[in-house]
Amino acid sequence: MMNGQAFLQVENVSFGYGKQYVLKDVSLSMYSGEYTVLIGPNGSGKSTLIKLILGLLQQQDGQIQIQRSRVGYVAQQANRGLADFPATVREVVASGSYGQIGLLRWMGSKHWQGVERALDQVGLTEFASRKLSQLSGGQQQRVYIARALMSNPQLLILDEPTVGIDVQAKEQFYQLLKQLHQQGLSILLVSHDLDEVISDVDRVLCLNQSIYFYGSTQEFLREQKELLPNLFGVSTIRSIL
Amino acid sequence: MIFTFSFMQQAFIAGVIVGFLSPLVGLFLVVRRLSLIAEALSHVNLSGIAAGLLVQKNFPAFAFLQPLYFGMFFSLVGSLFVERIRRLYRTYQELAIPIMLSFGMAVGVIFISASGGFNADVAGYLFGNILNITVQEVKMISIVGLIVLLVIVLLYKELFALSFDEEYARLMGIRHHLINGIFILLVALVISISIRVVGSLLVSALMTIPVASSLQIAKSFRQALLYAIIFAELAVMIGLIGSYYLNWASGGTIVLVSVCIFFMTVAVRRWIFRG
Ligand SMILES: Nc1ncnc2c1ncn2[C@@H]1O[C@H](COP(=O)(O)OP(=O)(O)OP(=O)(O)O)[C@@H](O)[C@H]1O
Ligand SMILES: [Mg+2]
Repeated sequence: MMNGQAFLQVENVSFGYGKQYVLKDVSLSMYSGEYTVLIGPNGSGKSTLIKLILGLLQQQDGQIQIQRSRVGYVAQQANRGLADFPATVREVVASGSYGQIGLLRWMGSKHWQGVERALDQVGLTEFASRKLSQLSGGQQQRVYIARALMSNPQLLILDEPTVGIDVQAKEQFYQLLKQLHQQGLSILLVSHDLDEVISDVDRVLCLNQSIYFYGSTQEFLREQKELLPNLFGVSTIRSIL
Repeated sequence: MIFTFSFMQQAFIAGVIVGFLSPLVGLFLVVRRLSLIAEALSHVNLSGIAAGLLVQKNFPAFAFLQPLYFGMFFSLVGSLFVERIRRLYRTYQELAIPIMLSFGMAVGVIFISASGGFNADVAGYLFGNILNITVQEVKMISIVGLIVLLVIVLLYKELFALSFDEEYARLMGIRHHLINGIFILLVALVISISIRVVGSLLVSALMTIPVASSLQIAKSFRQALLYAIIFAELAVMIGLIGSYYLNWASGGTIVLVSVCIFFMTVAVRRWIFRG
């Protein structure tokens, strides 16, 4: 799997909002088709790292190489504040292609077909004409995935997408991610639900200001007895939850 | 029929244009929780109009420079400041509003007192006096209106994306500074041409109340736009006819009708949810 050029390369990146470092000397690389889960305690810099990768923040040190037009993003708590916006699911998903269409151009039939395909992929076809606010939290998160799929991404980045979603919806949600991964999409998932996703992912990345562990799922399962107490102060995955 | 009077025709042309554009920009302001920006800019606009009246009084040679143009210039400059201040505070973006609002009010009051205090002219700009609108003003309103409409149609995609989720829009490579800057200029222009119709004190009402009504029943963003425009046009037309026959201030009557429509939509919505 590691053959070929990495399409995301983070090299020795450091970043701080003020004088203090939030991230120190972080390096990682992702190859096509890879599913990586990023874990770490609250405040460990997970969202910050994601924002650096997306170019929403600028690192003070180090380099990030990525083709940003091929990245889809689902933000942490994406559904907050936007939920009562007067738009249908279809309108929101369509907006995911507005960047690529470019200034002074309109949605063509090709783009609308893309919208229907994305809705189908996340299983929301029957909700397409509903207002966003009439959907459950889990369904809303699917809308944001569909929007991210509109840019035809190589890599999908999700920052704690299941916060505030019930257990059953969570399972369906991770099932969806697994399907997308099997269709060839690379995924970088920030999550505390290690237990639910550990059997789906290829690699695990533990972050706490700097990288604490970065390796295959098998390696992680072998080493977790030593890793987790230091990272979270607990001894098994289950007790993080 | 009242339309046979040419001044009534002029009033209707101006009213229809303003009734179309106010809710159009108003919807984008409301969903971004920036509707009070209209309020602030209308006060800045008023200070410009007061400056214009002062110039007209003291320098009769410049009488051809209508106070309306002064108002437009002031609110255009003001809108750029609003955008600047807005960027200064990421989480307290609405702080720009009271700053501009008080500034505009203060300058306006100073100019008005310097030009001899409140008189019928000032009242016309404050509360709207569409029945006295001149042919030249209607021409200006039409041209500005056409420009605003064209720009909004061309930037609809970007405006939607930025209103729904500014961070994601940035991520997609939408030039947010540019689009936001253009949009706030459009708001200033719409305010400037609405002053004659509803007056500076009520400009923001025509931008927000029809939108508030529309949000009660709209099921999509397109519907929200459509209903808001329909409600605003209804308010303008009923208001104009009403103000003519009742001899009420046009601005006040239009806004009153608008508020009535709002309560009707609230009632309709309740009725739908119950039934
Ligand atoms: N905009 C900001 N300005 C200043 N400090 C910030 C900002 N955002 C985050 N921080 C700080 O940076 C550190 C890392 O924050 P970050 O949001 O990346 O953590 P996280 O790992 O995503 O946490 P969580 O699990 O709670 O989402 C925290 O200590 C936080 O207080
Ligand atoms: Mg976070």
